[in-house]
Amino acid sequence: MTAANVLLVDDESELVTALAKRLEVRGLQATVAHDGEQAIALCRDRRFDAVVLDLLMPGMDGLDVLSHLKEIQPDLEVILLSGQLLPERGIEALKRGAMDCLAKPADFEVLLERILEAIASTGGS
Amino acid sequence: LAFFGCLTAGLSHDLKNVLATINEYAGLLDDLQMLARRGRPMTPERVQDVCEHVSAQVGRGQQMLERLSRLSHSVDRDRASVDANALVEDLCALSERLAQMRRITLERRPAASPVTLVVDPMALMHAVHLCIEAAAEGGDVVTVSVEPRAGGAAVVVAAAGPLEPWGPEEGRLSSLRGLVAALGAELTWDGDVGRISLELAGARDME
Repeated sequence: MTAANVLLVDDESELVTALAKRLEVRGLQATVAHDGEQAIALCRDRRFDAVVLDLLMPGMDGLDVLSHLKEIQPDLEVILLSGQLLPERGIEALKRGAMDCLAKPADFEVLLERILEAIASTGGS
Repeated sequence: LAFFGCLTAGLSHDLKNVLATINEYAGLLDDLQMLARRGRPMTPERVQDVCEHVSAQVGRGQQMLERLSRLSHSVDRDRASVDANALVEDLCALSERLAQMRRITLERRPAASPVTLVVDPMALMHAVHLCIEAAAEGGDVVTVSVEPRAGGAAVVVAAAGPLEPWGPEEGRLSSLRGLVAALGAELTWDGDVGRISLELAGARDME
């Protein structure tokens, strides 16, 4: 059985690398993107089972990245992370199809639980 | 205060990331230990890798706190002996997050050797910060150079392209003028080539 593939999008490369390593230890495959453009390019190239997306990154805004990702793969579940989550941004994210918005840094076990739910929802392994 | 807020907001964001990264590596060690209990050995290389990452983050956090401390203490005295290279490096490092968010590359060109000036460190930092803000409006690369002069020095901030002058209605312009006056410096704004120069004649610490 192939491990589910999770895309992690965050400009903080050390943090996202640590998260990727933890997900791999838990049996998931993790791919890292450092900005929205890179995430969109990766999603055009292959199918992911879930995405964890930082809302505030250099360049493209997280909400716009979310819209692009949903356009490319409509059934893709996206979990948003944000250091300063304003209620109106959270609502907008949900309107655009985000599965959930979590405050950053998120508790790993909570994040993992949401990722597993996202994978189950997209029919990943 | 807005200047302080601007720099410390970026710094607190970065420090939060440092702690979050250390937290994830601690968690990774826990995960590996859990796997080891289930019979999957934890290799020394894996543990060493985690230790190296944690150690790098601790170093990064320590450097940030040292910069924060220097920034906070820059208000202690109206005049102090400072190395212009180090001051510009601190300011650029503290402004890095803001620059990244605006997709601006901050390039540093320090003088070949330390340039010790007797100035109001806070005023100089703030003035250079405003010059960087202005230069960021001229393109995606801002270069900050320290150039020694006879008896003084210049901090030159260059934009990637031409710069529009700040109008008199700009609060930033009056702030910059006030700081330049307090420093006893001279400001040259060459909008056509996108170059702002802060000349600090006679500020060199000759002791």
